[in-house]
Amino acid sequence: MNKFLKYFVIICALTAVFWIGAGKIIDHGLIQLDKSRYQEWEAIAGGGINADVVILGSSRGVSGYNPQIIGEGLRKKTYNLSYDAGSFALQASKFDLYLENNKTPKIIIQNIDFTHFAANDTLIGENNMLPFRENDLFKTHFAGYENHIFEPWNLFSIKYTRNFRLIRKGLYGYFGVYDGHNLHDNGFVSKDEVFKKDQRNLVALKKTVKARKYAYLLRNVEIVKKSMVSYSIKSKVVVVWAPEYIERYALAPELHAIISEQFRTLASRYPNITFIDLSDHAMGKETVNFYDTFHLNSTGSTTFSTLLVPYLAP
Amino acid sequence: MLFNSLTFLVFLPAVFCIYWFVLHKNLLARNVFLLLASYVFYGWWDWRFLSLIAFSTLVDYYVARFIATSYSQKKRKLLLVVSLIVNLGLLGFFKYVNFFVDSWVDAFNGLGIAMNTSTLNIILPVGISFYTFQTLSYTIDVYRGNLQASRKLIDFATYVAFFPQLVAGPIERATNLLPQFGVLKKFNEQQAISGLHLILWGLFQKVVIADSCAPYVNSIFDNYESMNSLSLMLGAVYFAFQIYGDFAGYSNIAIGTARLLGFDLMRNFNYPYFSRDMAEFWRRWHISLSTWFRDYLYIPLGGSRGTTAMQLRNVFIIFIVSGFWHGANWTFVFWGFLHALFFIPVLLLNKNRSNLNQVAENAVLPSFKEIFQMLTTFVLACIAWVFFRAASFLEAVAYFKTMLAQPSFDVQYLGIQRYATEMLFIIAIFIALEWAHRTQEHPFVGRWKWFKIAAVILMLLTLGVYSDHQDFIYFQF
Repeated sequence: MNKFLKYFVIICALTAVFWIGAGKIIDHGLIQLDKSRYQEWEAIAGGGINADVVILGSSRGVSGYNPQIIGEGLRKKTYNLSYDAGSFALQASKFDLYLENNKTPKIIIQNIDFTHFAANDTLIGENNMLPFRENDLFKTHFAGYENHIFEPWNLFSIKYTRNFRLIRKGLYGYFGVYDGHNLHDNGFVSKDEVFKKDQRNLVALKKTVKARKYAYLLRNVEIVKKSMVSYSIKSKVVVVWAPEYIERYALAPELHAIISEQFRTLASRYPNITFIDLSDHAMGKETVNFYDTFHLNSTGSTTFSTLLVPYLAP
Repeated sequence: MLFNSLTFLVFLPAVFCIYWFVLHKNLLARNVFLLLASYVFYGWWDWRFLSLIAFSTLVDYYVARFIATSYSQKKRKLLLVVSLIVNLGLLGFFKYVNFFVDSWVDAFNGLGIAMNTSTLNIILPVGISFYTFQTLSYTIDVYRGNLQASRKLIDFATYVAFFPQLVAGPIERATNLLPQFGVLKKFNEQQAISGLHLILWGLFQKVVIADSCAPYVNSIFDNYESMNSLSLMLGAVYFAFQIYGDFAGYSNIAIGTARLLGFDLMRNFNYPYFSRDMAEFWRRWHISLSTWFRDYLYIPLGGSRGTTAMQLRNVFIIFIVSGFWHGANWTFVFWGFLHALFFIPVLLLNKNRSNLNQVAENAVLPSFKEIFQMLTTFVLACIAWVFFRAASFLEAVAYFKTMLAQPSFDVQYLGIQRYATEMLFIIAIFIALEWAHRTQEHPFVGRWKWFKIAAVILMLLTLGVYSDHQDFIYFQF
């Protein structure tokens, strides 16, 4: 019986070692991937950014604000902390995580737009956080969202089982092989794509306007405003409505007026908050600046970021 | 209870410890415990159907006892018929009643005679085909005088319900398994270690190979109309590995589990996809069922003796019945029919026993001739698998029509996360492992044993399906 038990223990031990070891290797490999989101999360949680200017937003923030141009214009270290497809709550959680170990920025640029105030409890892009599943900071800031990775049961499961994409990327990273996915530059993703109409987004906005479902939007506007006030205690806050594609802007002039008025009033009450409304800027009439009806492309983001610098300069 | 479930992960060590450490001195207590454990294992799925097993056990136990004590051949035959009627009656009721009613209605509707009838809402008890055949073989063996009737009801009941092989085989003969319950076993380390190896290998076959293929298979078969030739061919290949990994995996875990408790079960799979002809395939695929049919149906019918017409009749009967055993659907019947068609040329050329040895026996790689033979056999098996997997006969025909109508070999996105190339890579590793160890039960032998064990554990952890584990396909049979 002894030999069998020894054999059994070795197999169990091997399983345990691989269970933990394989996860650690892939964690490490993913974090090693240069300019990947995994590496970004590591820097955000670990205090590896420490920017003077931080940009907050959703996907429009990710592709619209070029931190290199803004940083050079302001002569300040700038980082785009926008959360791709993230709700305003997720953007705030990401920023809260950032503040845990990074210095408080001097300037916070908060992008807003028509969809910024839609509530969404889902943890978007949770796979990007897999290497940090056991990290208490991530649990503190993100476990409250609808997710799969922070559920207690999942903490005992094998992290990357059957997730071929991550296993492959993790191994690439671990062995130093270049992997070209998910690249960003200081949080900014340059979209070098030509314009393609996105009907889905237009239809969604059209429905909101038609139903005049503004009440909940305004409730969320209040929440965002409170965040801005809270940020403005230690930083200068610049709320920016980046140029909207003309067709989209034309769909909701009334909604635009309501929201922009709220932030204009806010800016007038708090000296540390500025509101810059470029939503109907002329560049919104040119499809050359957009890759869809919602997002600026690389040409548009260069023009817009250059355009924004004088507004931000002290 | 599934072998690849957390419940079993607790159940098996508990049974192991009580069996070897608590009940190591008392044979009766051990057998009673194994019987109870087996009933718990089965009852975990649906306790109500335990009564069926118990009923079948009692009938065959007493019928066999009466047969053994009876000197009248007529009475013995009558008792055998009673056992056949009870066992096949239960099987027929639970498995085939609705099929016959539906087919009857369809036939009349086809003739233009409208018939409306409702079918019964019958649940198919898990494993009924397996334990029914197991108990039948016992009664037939006693009738034939090949086996003495058991005098111990507990031993016999444990033989019928022995949990490692209760729900999906191997279909054990009483001549092999029943006497093992009459011996107070001592722990055999080598046997237990080989059991661990088989469990590990079986898990790999099930959760890595079969369950990885499953989403591809489902995606392709559910959307076959929009798939191109390459995808449809891959669909058949993936299913070939899914069903093999699923069933061989289950069998290996069953055999391994039995070995942990000191029991030897028969081998059920012997690398069937390395077969050079259909006869060899059937000597290597689901061995416990094919030998059952051989011994209790094919040989009594005359086997390969008699005129050519009789031989052909016997082949068709055995394969069609085998197909029908798998399920109450014309697809299974046609699957059996196709295998009969594929088998007949080998039989007529008198080559059905020409490949009894291992392929490339003393070589590392097969010859070109052997590669051609193996590929041909595999392609034929895949053609038949399409009928086995399809929801209906017409769907299987449409599957082939779509494959041949507009040949296109572009790689298609199958709407699931994993890429076809990676799946093929996993299958290639599996084939290479099996090929390198085709003379062994499992790959965990030789100098590289621990390396292979480590690699398989690593693949189990990284490639296995755990969150949405699939039932074993053969549970439905």
